[in-house]
Amino acid sequence: MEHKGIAVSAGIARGTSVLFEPFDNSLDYRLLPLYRVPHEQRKAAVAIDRLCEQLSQSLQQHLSEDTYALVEADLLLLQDDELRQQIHNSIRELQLAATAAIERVFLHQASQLAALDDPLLAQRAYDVTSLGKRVIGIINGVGDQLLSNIPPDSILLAEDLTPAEFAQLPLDRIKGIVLKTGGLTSHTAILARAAGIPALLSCGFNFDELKDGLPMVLDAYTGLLHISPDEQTNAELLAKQQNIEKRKKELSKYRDRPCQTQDNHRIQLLANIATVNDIARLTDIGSDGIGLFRTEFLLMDAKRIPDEKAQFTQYYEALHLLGGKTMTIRTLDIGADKEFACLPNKMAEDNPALGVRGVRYSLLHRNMLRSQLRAVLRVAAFGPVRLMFPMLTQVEELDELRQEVALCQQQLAEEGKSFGELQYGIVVETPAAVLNLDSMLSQLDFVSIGSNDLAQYTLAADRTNQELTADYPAFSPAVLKMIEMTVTAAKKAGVSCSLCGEMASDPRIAPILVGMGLDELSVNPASMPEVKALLCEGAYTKFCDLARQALACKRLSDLESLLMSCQATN
Amino acid sequence: MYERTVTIVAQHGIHTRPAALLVKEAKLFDCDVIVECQGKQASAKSLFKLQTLGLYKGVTVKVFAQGDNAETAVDRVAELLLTLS
Repeated sequence: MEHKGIAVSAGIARGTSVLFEPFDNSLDYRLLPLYRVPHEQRKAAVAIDRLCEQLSQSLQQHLSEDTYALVEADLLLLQDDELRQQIHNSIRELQLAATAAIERVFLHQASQLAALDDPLLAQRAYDVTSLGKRVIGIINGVGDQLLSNIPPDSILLAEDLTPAEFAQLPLDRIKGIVLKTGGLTSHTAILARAAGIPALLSCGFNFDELKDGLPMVLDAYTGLLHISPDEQTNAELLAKQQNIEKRKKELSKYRDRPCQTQDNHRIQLLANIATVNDIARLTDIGSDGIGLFRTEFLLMDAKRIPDEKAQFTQYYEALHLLGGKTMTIRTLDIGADKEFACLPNKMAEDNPALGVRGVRYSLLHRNMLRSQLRAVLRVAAFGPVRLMFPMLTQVEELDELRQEVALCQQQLAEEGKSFGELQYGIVVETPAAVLNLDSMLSQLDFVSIGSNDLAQYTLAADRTNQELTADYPAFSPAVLKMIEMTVTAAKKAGVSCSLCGEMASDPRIAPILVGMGLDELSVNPASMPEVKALLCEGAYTKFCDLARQALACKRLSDLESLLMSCQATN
Repeated sequence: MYERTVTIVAQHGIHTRPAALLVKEAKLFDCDVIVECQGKQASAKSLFKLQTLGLYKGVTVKVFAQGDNAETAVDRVAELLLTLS
């Protein structure tokens, strides 16, 4: 049996299950007889004191700075006179039992925090609700399950874990954590990542179907929890785990170093991502940030088009996880091969790849464009953000987009909302963009070559047509010339030049691209360790040599043999 | 009554952790220090209330107090609002 969840803190963990059953959160909703008021008030106070005691005790243990601060904040909240007064009053004035009064006060507080329209406090609202549930659990007499009694090699399954509970976990005995609740920026996620424990959040398992002591494998790469896996699955997972560990060991020596060649040429090595989830895995591969955030994936499973607030929350989470590293957002790239349920049906086009896609779509749907621009501008107040436009072929489109940005800035200023400075770029993915680049560079801070589409449009060969892919590869003389023209034009104008297509993720090709003068490569997270190791182990002068040789190749077969020789020397 | 007005500069505003520190410091004073922001008031000694004020970057906050050591207390809280992040 398998269950899917949101993976945080990559890794594969195997162990036996330990269930941490949810507290009894049941509430007593009966109208309280007046003579029972003092009794219930006392019950509430005793339960709060009890939890305060537990939290104070866990503060005595050896805690990380993060955990300490979170537990301490919980403690301060419980010691708050105002909180106790409100619970007291609710019991007396509304004649509520202690549990119902506590629920009411904590929920009210949580809803006030949630209403503040701030992603960090929204998370705090969730913590506050959990804290209330814990007090209720103590009143119901079940809040004392011992987390410290967990046997070695355990996979812990729980409804939820508060920071305080996390603090009590014997981490040396826990291989993995699986929760029914939580998201990527929830405190448990942060704590699990900090502790390096593979974890799955928002996992759909059912307590009734499980018991203690079942063999389990948690694959935080695929986000799957395997319960009592069969022999074959088990063997596959074991092989995967061994492979990953071996490769990790080999490549990890480059992880924390800047991506720099032996002769000290620094390359910005960035990652391509589609969702916020992808970023969680970036922390342990050593990237310089995000080179391509494919925002159309926000629409993928959405029933409605995400509005400004929904987008802002996503971008904010992403930026928060990046901790000061650059985030490059590509505006919605809709059209061609991408269909989304939440969008109105597009008019059928004879040639979708040559039709309304990328900024062409955005400029025809200004409201959607504006909500995205506003969300991006607002999030830029919190860190370095770059914005790039896909499928932009003519300077007129760029003019219009910059006007839209200016309009959004003006609106935000009038509404008194804070926003930040952006860097602007385009995705160079058509021959027209390459040829028109000179007229656009004055308005740009960077360009990013989308080599997949650039190849398809340069070669006039549909990249999804399997009869063509082998004979019309992206790594071809014509496409290399396009890339060279782009790099030369950008360099001349002092604009930084990146490449975010598949080519950059090919360890044989990446050195050639660096030799051609690209300042940045944006690669798939999975390829990053290998690409980084190769670039760090090589010399820039050698890469320049390789690039010269590649550009001199007149035939596909020449390029092919150059790649073969590269592979042989590596 | 002594009062001061400050503008929050912390990138992420005064959230749980900085707010908790502020509460701890405010509790060292006998007088009650009130923080007012966007029409809402809270005691600087109550994390419970303080959290709900919405102390974001850029908002203006009034801090005031009456009684023993009011001036020192207000100055201390105002200083923390300016420096915590």
